[in-house]
Amino acid sequence: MRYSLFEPKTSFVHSLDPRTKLVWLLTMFSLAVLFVDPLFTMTIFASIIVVMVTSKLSISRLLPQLRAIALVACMSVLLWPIWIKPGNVLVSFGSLRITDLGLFMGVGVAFRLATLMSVGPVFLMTTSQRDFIAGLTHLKLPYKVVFLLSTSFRFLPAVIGEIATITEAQASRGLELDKGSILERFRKRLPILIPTIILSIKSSQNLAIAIESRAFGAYKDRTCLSELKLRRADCVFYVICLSVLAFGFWLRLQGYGTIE
Amino acid sequence: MSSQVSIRTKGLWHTFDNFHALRGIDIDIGLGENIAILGQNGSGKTTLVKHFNGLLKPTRGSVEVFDRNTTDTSTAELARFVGYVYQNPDHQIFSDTIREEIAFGPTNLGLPREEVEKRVEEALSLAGLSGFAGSYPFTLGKGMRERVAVASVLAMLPKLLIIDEPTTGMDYSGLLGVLRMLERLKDPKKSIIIITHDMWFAARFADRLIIMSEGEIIADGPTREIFLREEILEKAFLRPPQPTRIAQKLVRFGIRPDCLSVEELFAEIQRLAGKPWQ
Repeated sequence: MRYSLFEPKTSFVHSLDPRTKLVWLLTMFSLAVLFVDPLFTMTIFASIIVVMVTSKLSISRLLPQLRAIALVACMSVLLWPIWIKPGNVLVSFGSLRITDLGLFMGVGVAFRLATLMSVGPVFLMTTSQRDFIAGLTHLKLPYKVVFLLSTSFRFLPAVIGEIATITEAQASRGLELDKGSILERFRKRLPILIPTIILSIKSSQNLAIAIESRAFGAYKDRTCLSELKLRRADCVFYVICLSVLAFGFWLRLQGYGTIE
Repeated sequence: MSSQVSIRTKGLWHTFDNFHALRGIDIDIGLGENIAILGQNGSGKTTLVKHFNGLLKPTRGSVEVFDRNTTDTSTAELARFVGYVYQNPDHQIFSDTIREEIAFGPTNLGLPREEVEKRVEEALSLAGLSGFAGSYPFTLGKGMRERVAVASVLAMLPKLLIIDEPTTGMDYSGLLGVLRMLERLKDPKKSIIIITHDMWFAARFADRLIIMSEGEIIADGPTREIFLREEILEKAFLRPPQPTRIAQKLVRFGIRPDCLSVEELFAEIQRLAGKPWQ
């Protein structure tokens, strides 16, 4: 069982300051939300692919994310043309008309979603948990909030592991999840849900005791084992991100990148 | 003849990603056998028994459970014959009362209500929980929760019962409770397999030991014989229970080296003490 998405590698992206990567993440989010034009969203997504390649992430680790992205993107391409009526008709089946505008919208939104879905995983896969915490702490976020965020990332895979074990245990008692009506199937999740919740509460109690016995919150200001320093590459990356973002806003205000 | 065999594996291999967890396991388990599987953490014990109720399917080789090939039989179907009690009872307990918890399995088998109730009562008394049917399972001690978990599987009347580490983290009275329950469950028409790290418990309960190391079975035979094979036990980082070890040190005085309990060792010493020492 894997407990973290982080993949230790030596690459340019890995060596960047976590705060820089956060700025990159926010830039990508904003750009993705700003534009719908497929040409724009495709370019944004392509830049993420470039980051993925430079960070030397292994395909096998990326595959589950890519698969989910492909699924959502396909849905967008298939569903938007059904709802968008204006534009030049490309094909029509009875009352269903597929217009160029609809298709445009579908492809545009597909790449927007792909961007939104891939930025987070790339960030988490290239940033160790320690760096992530240090980054958030240096941004002057209260340490309790930082701890909350980082432990939820840390415990999610563990909980997924527990759910798998519980599902097996109940299957051994003859529970068949994929039989019956929707209501029945929902009810059949209870024997899995209840032990999961109880175990999670127990483990959070244990965690509380463990961190308190190690002086959690004894000092208001928290120091970090690895002090972060912005390097030249980080500054360059900052400037690039911020200028691209500013340029993006300007383009959008000029009316580029949208679909009328 | 085949009706005498509950499990038969042939050349069973199991591979996770690139790790060979099982490397060619061949075993037959007969009805009426009470077996303990021993071995270090990561030696493949749990992986092996998960093949016995179809939770895992062989990467290579075959597993037959009561003459059914597990590859094309679902776990829910095998649950009619094979009961599997998980290592941690908290992974399966979800009901408000012990009675409801135990009724879950037989209800899943689609049995009529009266039959379910009958089986629940039987399982409660077998597990020594008769007075606790209405109790809330989460507030009980570890030993009791383990017995609830076992009872909930017993109510399904499995012909093969598998219990993964029934004694971890238990005090002596919890241990004795589980042992007494297992003694009551011994039945010439059924088989019981436990996985354990507790040599004392294995010596008291099992009449056959299977020792695993690095995905292979390195010893398999009657408990008394296996505990004599020091070099093999050492390979699996195991030591016989203390009475057996003392007995082995006293062999030159004429004491049987295969004593399994304090009582047996004491009887031997008494027998010798009746005679003059040489």
